[in-house]
Amino acid sequence: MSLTINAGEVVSLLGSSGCGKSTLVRIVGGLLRPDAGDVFCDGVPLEQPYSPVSVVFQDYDAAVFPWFTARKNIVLACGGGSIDHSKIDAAAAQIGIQPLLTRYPSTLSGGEKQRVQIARALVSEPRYLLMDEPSSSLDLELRKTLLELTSDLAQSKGLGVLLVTHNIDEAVYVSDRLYLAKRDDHARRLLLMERNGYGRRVADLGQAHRDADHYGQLYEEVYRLLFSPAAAWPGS
Amino acid sequence: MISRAKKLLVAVAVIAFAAAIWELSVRMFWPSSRFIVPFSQMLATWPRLGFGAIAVHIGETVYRAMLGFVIAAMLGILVGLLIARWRTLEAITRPIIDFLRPLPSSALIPLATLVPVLGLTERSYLFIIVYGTIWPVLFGTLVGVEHVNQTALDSINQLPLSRFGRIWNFTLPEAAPEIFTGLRIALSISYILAISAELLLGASKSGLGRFLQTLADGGDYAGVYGCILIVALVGWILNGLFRIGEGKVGWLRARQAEIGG
Repeated sequence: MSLTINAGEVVSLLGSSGCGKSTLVRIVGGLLRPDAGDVFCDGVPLEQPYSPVSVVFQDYDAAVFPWFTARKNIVLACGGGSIDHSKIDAAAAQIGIQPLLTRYPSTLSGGEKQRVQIARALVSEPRYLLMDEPSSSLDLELRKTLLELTSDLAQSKGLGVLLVTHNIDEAVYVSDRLYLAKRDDHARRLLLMERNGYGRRVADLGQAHRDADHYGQLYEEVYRLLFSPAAAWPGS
Repeated sequence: MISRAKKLLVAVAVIAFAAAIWELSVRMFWPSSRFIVPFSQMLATWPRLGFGAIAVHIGETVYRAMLGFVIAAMLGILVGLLIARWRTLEAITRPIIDFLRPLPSSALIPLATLVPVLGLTERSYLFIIVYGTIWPVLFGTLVGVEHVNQTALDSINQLPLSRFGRIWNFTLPEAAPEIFTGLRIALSISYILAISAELLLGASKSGLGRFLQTLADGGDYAGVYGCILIVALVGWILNGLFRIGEGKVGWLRARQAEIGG
């Protein structure tokens, strides 16, 4: 299988729970060595965490350290050298958490903690952002805000974003390209199928038409592909 | 939630009630016994034994216990971090640890007196206390580090921190509840071993253990009871001080709040 993330695009990895999406994110993020195959970032083989790649984890309660304030959590991403607090403030302002920087995670809501995690991921100015089901524990409004922020980051900062999700709606809503993932139990491997142009096609419809038939057709198409038998998938 | 002052008040009231029961029971059932003395008589021995002398014995024992505790705590955390970090080291050291752990410290007292470097000196006390105290700290650290949440670990590993930075900013706070449980147990053990070593080793003329032995040798039963009361009181205060200190550690409070401890 092959997966590519280009600068300035949101790529979704869509698949059911347990199919290996998070494992793939850990591999791409340099946090786990693959049994076979290679990961390259701008042509450089990636075997350990690499600063141009930042990961946002699904479990924000574990990823945001409770013994530090929101600011200190973000400061950690600046390494051991001198800290440029203006960069931290800028990242926090972009995510809308500047008033929360002095607070401890125990006093923050789930969405606020997730945003602290995103600010931490952004402060090191990565070129690629891997987001592992970042909205799965958030309510509808926060999910929408997060998805729009993701899309905005890709466009304004030229970030290459890999959004891992099991939610067809949000994948169709935000992605430029989609990778559908399926676990091939027989061959014990992950199958990927690439589909292009979803988010752009939806965005072109405009806000008023997002609930229209076309959106429904895209949803149906992805649903049908995702649940087609593994034997019908490329590479199976 | 009960405040600390209320908790202290309840504890004092319960102890006072138990003391009153003891006093009444002895006066009713064993009024003329030499071996069982009423609570008031225990307290009455303190001025006779001398507050100055008692303070010197307490100071000596607490110093020995604390020195052993601090050395064991530092060694236990350091070795625990190293073993938990390197699986090969764990594979090599685990059988040795499992073999040595059940060996009681007191069994080493005869050996301590025979080894020329230790002998009948302060070093023997320290050796016995550190040996017995290190285990709960070591195992607390091992358990704490081994049970770190995978997402939290991935999260810190992707940040541009040095190895020391990761240990300081993540491993120690994450493992803090287990480490502090180990430290709390270790503190009690260090105090128990300090008194046991003083009782059995006899390398020093002072310390609560030695004082207790001297009183017992002189047949001063009331004095022995009075001294036991002091031993218990000092242990209770040490534990209380540790709990207060523990409450000041922000890392620990945050982790305990997170895990609902």
